[in-house]
Amino acid sequence: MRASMREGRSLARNLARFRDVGIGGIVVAVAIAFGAVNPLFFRPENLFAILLAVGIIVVLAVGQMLVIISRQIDLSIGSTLGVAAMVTAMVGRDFPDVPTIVLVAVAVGVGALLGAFNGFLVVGAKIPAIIATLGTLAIYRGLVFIVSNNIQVNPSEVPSGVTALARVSSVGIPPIVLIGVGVVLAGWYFTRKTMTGLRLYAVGSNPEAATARGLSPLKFQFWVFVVMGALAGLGGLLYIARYSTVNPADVGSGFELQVISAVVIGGTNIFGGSGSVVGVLMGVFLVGILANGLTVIGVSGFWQSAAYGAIIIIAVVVDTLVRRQMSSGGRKEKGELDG
Amino acid sequence: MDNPKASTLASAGKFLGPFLPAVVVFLVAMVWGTLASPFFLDIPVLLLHSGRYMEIGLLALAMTLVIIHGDIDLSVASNLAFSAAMLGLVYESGASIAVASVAAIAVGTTLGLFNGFLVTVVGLPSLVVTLGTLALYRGMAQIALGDQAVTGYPDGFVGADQNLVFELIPLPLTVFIVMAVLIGFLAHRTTFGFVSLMLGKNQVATMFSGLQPKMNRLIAFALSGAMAGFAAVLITARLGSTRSNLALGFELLVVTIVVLGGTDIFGGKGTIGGTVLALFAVIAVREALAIQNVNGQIQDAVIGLILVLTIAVPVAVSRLFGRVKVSRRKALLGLEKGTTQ
Amino acid sequence: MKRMKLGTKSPRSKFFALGASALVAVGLVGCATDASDSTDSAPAEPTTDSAEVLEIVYIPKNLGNPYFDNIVAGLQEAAPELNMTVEVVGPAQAGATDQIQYIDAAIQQQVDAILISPNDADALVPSLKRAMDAGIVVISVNSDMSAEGRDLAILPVDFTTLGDFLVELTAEVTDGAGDFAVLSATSTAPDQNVWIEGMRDVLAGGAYPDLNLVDVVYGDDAPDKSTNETNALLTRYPDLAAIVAPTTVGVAAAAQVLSASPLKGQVQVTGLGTPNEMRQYIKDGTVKAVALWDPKAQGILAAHLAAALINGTFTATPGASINVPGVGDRVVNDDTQVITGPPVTFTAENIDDFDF
Repeated sequence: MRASMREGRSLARNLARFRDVGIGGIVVAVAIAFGAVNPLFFRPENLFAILLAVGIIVVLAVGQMLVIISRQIDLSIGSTLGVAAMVTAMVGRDFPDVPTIVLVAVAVGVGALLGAFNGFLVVGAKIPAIIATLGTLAIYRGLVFIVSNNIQVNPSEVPSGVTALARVSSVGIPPIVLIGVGVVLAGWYFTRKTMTGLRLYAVGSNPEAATARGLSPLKFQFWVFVVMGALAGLGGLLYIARYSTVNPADVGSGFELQVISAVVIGGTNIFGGSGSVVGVLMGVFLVGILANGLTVIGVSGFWQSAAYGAIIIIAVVVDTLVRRQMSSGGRKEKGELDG
Repeated sequence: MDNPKASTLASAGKFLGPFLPAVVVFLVAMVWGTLASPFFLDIPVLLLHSGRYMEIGLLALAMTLVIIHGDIDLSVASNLAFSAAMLGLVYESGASIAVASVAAIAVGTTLGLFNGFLVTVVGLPSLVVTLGTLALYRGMAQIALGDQAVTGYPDGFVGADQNLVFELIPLPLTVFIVMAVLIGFLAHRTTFGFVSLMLGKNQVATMFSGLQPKMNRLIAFALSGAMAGFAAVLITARLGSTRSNLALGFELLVVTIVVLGGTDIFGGKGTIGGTVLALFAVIAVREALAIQNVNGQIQDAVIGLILVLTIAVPVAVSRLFGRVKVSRRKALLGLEKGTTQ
Repeated sequence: MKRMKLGTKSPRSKFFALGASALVAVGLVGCATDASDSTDSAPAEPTTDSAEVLEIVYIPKNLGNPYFDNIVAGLQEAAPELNMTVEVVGPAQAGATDQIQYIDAAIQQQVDAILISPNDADALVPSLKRAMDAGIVVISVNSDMSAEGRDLAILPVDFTTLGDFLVELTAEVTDGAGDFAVLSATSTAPDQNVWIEGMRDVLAGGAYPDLNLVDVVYGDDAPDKSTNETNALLTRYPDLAAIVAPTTVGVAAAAQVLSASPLKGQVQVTGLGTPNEMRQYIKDGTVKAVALWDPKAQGILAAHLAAALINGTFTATPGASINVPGVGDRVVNDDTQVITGPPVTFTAENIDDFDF
């Protein structure tokens, strides 16, 4: 019995690694293709821009990955980012001498609070995550409006400590990118090297068995939302650094689609229980390169949404087919019964 | 089943239960609006305004079927946009408005079938597939129309939403009621509806039951697409112009309405009647807010809040009374379906 | 006491629960409404008997946009002396169909005039026609739409000469020579499209032989898209001399990108931007000059024109003229439009004189 368990585990791991490599290969191929059409794509300024965009999205994507592993989903990340960004920007505007580290704490703290409310709705009020976060998506957006009194924060009002995060620092790499890398590393360490991380996978793939083994799925489900919220808050801070203008209507809107696309393309199973940080990072790169590259090669903006959609579908099709081939005897995933 | 000694009140409560949130919200909103403004309680005007929401209502009817059988279709709004784009282009190329309208419905159905194909034949999860087609179909609408608008629709067609049936009921509302009856019949009085319900409750068992659930799912998606095409016709008649940013974001409101109406997001439970009541509840809330000049972001937030409260409060209270619904806990642990969320 | 079977809910608890939820919802809506009311309605008090108060509603493109907030400030400044109350409502996103429900609500409330900055040149016409049929004055503010949908349009500047002005501004910051690109709003935006056409006409006329328009891209008035497009322009055109963005969101995004880029100063950024948003970039040298006009004056003009139309002291026909205190004489042109005034250029010298 042990042997087959080990076999099953290594099969799954091989599958995951194969997939990550596959996605990585696609990313490189797409980048080369863009570069072939227009070599200017590889200009350092452009790669720099891609890195900045990726830095913000990857922070959110790692959080969403954790949520999806736990068999849930968080649709409110854009609005959470918005509230955190707005509150932080307003604090920075009204108290200009506040040190940057305090602003970081504010952003992460606000995000964590909002995440905790999501967690409360799901675990405490027993609302399915997709519905709860559908609701908070709208509620938090209203909160942005109320908190800001509908007044945007202008670039000159943002403390320079924050905008410096988007500039090339003494280390040569903008702090946004470093923070993104940091989150990726932390995520990787958590999911691969800590007991809690492994338990998260267990809870997500088989809550009954997990409960039988003494784990509390509810606790995981709650805390994963808090972490997601905190990361969304961090994303809010990075948003201010990158865009400087924080407008109550625009801030954070539209991130959900990009993030969930990246996570799905990165091989995270929407049914929970599996997902890798490396895959998500590849997915984020693909999304970021696509968004940038299509614009650079002059594909009219009208084609971008269609490209996104096509890539998501292709990624999921490939994923499902590969998964079926690899798992023993073509056993199908839960929920994919073609009945 | 029910304790036979349970009073009719209990069985009435069980029957009415799923509808209560929508009804209560509707009543509260109507009272609130009347108190807030003397202009509010003008029934003909309210009926006329409700015409604006009928496209969403039609989408919600079809969405209910899809959700009942355990799937979801997030692409409906983008489908509507592309179908409307096709309507416009076909009309511009010289066809009559009738032909163009039929084309829109055909296109919508085709797009719905594509969703259904990916879900049933290829076996992909509907959440992700329709997320992809949400982007894909919207993109197709943008490619088709670019930055242009199609205008110049015939006079009798544009503004048809203002026509009254029997001097009282606006045309869109009438169309919606007819559709609701038809789809309600489909959902609750046919084998198709029965199979959908069974699929939602227990996919594995239904698959082995010999009831053709694959076809069932496919049809539900096709119907969702057909509704999107039909709604495209309605929205074009109402606005008189077609752009690629039509119906942006509708899908969230559609799902909200379906859930508000008592349909379980995991499938296996839901009624068309509930969806209809929920639609009117949402209309009432929006009208009550609009008459007080409450802006868009706050309106959305209120709807979001209602959505959350509708599920949260009964649970909280029944916990107070010491009875926790067994299926809720199972749903929370994802045990019922093996699905996410 | 009857025991209920596990799995059913006591109907009594349901009623109780729903009553409680209804109360909570109402309470929260009340709070939310208060929050928005206090920011939306004007504090203006009518000076005479309330039966004569003019009620107008202004529907901007979307809320939270400081540009439109300035128009509102102008309306509210002029309102008291005109015996007018101003309600401001708008959608969260700049979508046409989102504005319709506010038009309908305004008709329902029997307001005297609807002022609207339309998101779409055609889709609002049916609703606005209904408003006009109900005797409500309809004025399109800040941009125009299909003429059958409004009684009058007020434009901030002369759209037909703005293209000229923008090219001149570009020449100023590039010393008259170089390739430049335009970063616009949405591809459907009627105002920007008119201006860009104007720019092309001026360039085709040969007045600026060394200036070369290489591309027009669309940032959709969204910060991330505008940023993305700016990056793409910088990548695609290594010899670019300037990015001209005739939209406040676009110019701010482009300036933000350039201010953090090694190309700052080499690639100029200019266009239409508000002083408050652009101050940072003018001070750090990214932007030499940017222009706009005073939206507040437009608001004042709109208030007076609305009052005059409602009271019947003015009819919106070509050639009709009106004098507005604080703004001056204005004449209705052949397209039933009134122009507010000329654009203003902001540079390091005068940027601190303005607060909007």
